[in-house]
Amino acid sequence: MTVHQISRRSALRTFGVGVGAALGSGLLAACGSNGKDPAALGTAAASVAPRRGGKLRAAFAGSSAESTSVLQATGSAIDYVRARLVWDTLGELEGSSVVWRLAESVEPNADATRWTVRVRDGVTFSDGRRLTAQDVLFSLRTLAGNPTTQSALLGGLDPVASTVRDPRTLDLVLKSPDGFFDLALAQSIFVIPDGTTDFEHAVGSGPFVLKSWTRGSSSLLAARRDYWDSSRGGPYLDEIELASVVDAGARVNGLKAGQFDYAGGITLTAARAEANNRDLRIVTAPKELWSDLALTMNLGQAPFTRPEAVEALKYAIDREAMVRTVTLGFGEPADDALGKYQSWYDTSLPRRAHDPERAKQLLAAAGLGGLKLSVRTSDYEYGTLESATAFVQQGQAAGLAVAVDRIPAADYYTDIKALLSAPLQTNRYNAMPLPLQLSFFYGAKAAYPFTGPADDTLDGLMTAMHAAVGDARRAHAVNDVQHYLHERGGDAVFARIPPAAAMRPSVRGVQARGFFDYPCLRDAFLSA
Amino acid sequence: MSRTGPLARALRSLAGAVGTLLAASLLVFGATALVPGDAAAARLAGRAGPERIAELRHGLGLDQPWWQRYGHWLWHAVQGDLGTSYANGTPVADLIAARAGNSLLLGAVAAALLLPLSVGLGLWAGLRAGRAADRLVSGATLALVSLPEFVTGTLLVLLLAVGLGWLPAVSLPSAGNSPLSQPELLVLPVLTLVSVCLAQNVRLVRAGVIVASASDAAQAARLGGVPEGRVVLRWVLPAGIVPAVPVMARYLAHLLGGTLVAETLFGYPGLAAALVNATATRDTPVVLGIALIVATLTVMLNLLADALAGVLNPAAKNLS
Repeated sequence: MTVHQISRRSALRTFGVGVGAALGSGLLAACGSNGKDPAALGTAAASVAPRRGGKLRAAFAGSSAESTSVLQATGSAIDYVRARLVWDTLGELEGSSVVWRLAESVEPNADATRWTVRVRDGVTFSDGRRLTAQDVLFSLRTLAGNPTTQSALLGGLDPVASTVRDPRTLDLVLKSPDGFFDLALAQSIFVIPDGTTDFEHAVGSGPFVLKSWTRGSSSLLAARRDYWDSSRGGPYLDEIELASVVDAGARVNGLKAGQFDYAGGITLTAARAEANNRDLRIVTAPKELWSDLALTMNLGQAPFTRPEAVEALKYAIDREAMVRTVTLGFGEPADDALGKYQSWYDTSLPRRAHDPERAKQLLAAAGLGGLKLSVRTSDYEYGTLESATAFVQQGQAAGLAVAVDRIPAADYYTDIKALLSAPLQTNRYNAMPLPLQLSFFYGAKAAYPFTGPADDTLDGLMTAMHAAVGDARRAHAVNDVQHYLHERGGDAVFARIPPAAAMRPSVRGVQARGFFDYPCLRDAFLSA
Repeated sequence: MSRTGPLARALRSLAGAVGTLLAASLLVFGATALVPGDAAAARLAGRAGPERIAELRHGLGLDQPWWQRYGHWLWHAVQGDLGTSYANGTPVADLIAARAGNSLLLGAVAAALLLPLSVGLGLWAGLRAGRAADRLVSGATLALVSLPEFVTGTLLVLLLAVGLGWLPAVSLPSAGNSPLSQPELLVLPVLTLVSVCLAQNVRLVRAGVIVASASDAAQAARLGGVPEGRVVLRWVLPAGIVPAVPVMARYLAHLLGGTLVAETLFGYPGLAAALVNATATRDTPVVLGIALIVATLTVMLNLLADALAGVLNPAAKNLS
């Protein structure tokens, strides 16, 4: 679920941790010349040899509350992009696979209650200090113990019981079994030196250092020529200048006027309008990183305490029409399950056809004929208000009287009580590794159970999922949860929608690596 | 009137100004307290669990009664301490100082163009009422004001930045620099602001000039053989701009206090965008800080406008 107010949107996307993978060599995917068909994505950039030197000027959404603090690195898009350049992480995702960075390996014990992290050798911070396991433990404790985005991911960690075994090894102790803790460790776990007290000036081991910064305006970063991983890739650029531009239209205008080389977070309308502009390259996220649009029913609230009402609503949605009108044709239908195209996703899940008559029959059989519904929604991010509006008409065909309850964008998420008690609301679930996403939104331990309290069956499945160790068992456990949610869950996930960005054709090497809206510029370069 | 009259009036004005600022701060604080959610939820909702949000809420002192929080803020504010941002812990004064400077710069440059243009064009048109020049000025300014600000700005960006490439589309200073060191950044926002504010001011001055030009004082001067140029400068102009002064003061406060459309459209880092962001994130100290700046500017400019009107308007002087 996410936002329009740019800071809010960025903030929430931050948790929407994706599995970035890119096509070909991990580059973002470019639209085909017709700009409409995401299936026609190209990977021409992969064939271009990296060129050293130059300065990349990239614009992202920022805010007047930007910060260089590592504790608020995920506060806005521009903060996040900057953070990914200054601080290395333990690991990151490519597709559904973890690629370890500062961690060399991460292994669980037999019941996934302890995880052993082997720290990479030969890494130095920008002040010359060598990375040790103590730095990693300090970073984990700091991120877990402060109000950070990462604290939710590290909620299962027992920071006190976790210890350093030797300078390159640490033993992480969990409060309960979690076979997916490696995925949490691959999510923006920025590493800072042990003993850091000034988090706004925390030293990093990343490929760039921050030379100058003006809040809400711009950041200038210079490449580290002694970067530990430079033998395998970037930094190729000499400098990167990040511009903080709140309005998506202004970012595109700046790109077209030649002020920027890259504009993150453009609207699908702009993507369509500029599809044939030869001076620009429009890119959309790899499909694993698309967002899922859903109508979310709270199963603890009437009328969705009745399974017939839940089922009827799923049949009442015209998914093809949603793709055409809400995603402007860029998206594709979804099948009442999150995380399609991730390796965790069970491709055997069937699609519910649009069947308003069946919906009517279900409602009539349950004595719910003439049902009136109110959809809580907002324009905090594209796709939610539009979905609610489109559903008004679709609902009529199924005998549902649907009213749109539009909430101001700034109030939508801050009113948590309303958020968790609304019988019906729109949702835009941004991509994150499916096991983490399921844990975050479903089950008794979910932080945001939008679909209401879980029953014993779902809780049992979630517990089994967390206890699963080994790829085969883990995949099986995730699929069990997915099947349950597909059949009995409160999320009618009806469409997938891609985020988009634009760049000058000379820009190469930009990678999503888990986050399309805050891409990794580590290996970016400017071709001749 | 006694000799202490002006002093008493000044004291009354000052007391009124302080009262206005207090009322404004209370209203703004009350509004932020009444809306759903708070800064802790705005910062972490959807990203961390409710327990973590509750911890942050306690850490920020948001679980205290509103009157206690307001009292705490007011006590420090009167001592010059505007507190720290709930969003990132930065002192509010630091957070808004640069943006206030940017807004003042943009507003001052726009005002420096707007005021002489308004007076000059209004005077020119008013002295030629009903003639071609008047119709030209009136028609052109009416056309400008009928265009919404964002349309004017967008057209200027498309023409002068995207199309011709003469000016930057985004008015964002590079890291460590102020807009003053890159004056080209100011051109499009200033043109947009002036075009939007110009029409009403010109028309007000024009109307005032027409009335003043036909006044008994001006006619008597003319009959007395006073040259027309002196009549205009001595009688027509001062009386003609009096009706426009309060309106101009409001425009000035608007320009100096931040202009949201221009800041959004051109990405200019000013106060208005910061206020919107702080409101959305329930960052009450920042909202109050910016509101106080804008309210102070408005009060000061209104006091100045009153004083100026008193000086310019003979009737007002006589009344005093």
